[in-house]
Amino acid sequence: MARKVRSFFKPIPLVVLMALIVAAGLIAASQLSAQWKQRSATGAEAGSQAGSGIGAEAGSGEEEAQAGGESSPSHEAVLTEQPVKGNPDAPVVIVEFAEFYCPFCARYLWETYPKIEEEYIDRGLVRYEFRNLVVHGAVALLAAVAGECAHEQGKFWAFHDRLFESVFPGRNIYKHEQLDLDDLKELARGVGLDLARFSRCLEGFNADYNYCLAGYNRCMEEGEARERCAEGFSSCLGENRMMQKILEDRRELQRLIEELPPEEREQAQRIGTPTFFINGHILVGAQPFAKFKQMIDRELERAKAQGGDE
Amino acid sequence: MRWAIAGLALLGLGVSAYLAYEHYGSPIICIGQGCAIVDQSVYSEIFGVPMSVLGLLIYVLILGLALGSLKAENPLSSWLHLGVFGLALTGVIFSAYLTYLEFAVIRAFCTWCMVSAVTITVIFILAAVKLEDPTRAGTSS
Repeated sequence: MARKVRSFFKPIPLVVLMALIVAAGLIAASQLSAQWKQRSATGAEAGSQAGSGIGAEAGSGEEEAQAGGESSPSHEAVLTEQPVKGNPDAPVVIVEFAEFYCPFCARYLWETYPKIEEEYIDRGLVRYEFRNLVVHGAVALLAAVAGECAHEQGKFWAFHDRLFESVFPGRNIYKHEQLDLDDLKELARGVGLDLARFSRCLEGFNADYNYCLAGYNRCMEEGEARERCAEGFSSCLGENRMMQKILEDRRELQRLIEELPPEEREQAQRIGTPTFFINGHILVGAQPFAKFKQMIDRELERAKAQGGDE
Repeated sequence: MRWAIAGLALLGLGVSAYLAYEHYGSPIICIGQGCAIVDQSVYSEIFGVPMSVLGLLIYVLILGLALGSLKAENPLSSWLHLGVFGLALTGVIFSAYLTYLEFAVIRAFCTWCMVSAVTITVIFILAAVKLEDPTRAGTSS
């Protein structure tokens, strides 16, 4: 009797079947979820591309890129014209490498930076520089470029502050909004930028980006190695005037890392955003204010000691 | 053999926990590398539940069942082992799907996700080798 019951009930095939059903369910759920997310994301993207026809705008973008690339003074300008705050002759210089989609950069801006500003920048003790380090891909790159476009008009900091507020609404760093061209223009309007000029700057970049991306996709479709296509994409986008600024920031980071004292080199191994250089000493991450204070005070002491010697 | 499964489940648990931790934000910095790209993609979550949390869940279950089946005198031992097998099978299929996504769709791959995929595959193989029909196992011993 018992044997008969068992022959009806075969646990192994049953478990296999159940496992297959659960796995299929998970995969289906994953696909649905991704489609649902993509739909909300491409809705925004479609909006951003509507603002810039690839064909029409690419020409003006290229002209701008060439104008930037050929005249060497613009390179000079790229080097010296950082968004800067504070006393130009301050004894301590802080260089921040950050990105608008980096939650810890936002947390730093809201929790730690105000204390640095109050205690050091406003008192003329610190000169503060901002540099881009893009780690979150295309959306973040567009935001970085928007920041530079605002900087061109001398309104970087106001734009910077608003941008962080918009990317992380309600200052919730665990949830970010992806901003498209229209959102960025709206922000630019909000801080009183010359909108036509800002749009030209940002859309020129966007057109170049789309143009280079199309080249990259063609390259991938032709079955080239991914690295090769990526290289082509980088050199194509590198022609863009705004991209050159972003790349210059990257090179500056490299320079600062190379100039680090040997005992601090190790910290540069795991670089990310935000990263700070305080008179050439590295500080990685949105560390507490006390850490900044300790390093800044040390530099101030040093500067004072040196001043006394002379 | 069952110790090995429990050990591997523990490893998978660690990896998933690390990935979940990264997903919800490592303490202070953002780094744009493979894991971050995969983790930022639309495939990183199923309606708000991160993949790493699913991984965590499956490894916790496997670990629990595997530890339970360690005691040979436990009459439910082979049932528990069958449970491990079923969970691992689901895990292997889903991992294969995720690995496919990484290579073919997202085109970025993440070392720790790979470690997890290999771990679950080994657990599955070990569980399959030792698999026996619990309704028969009881009578044979």
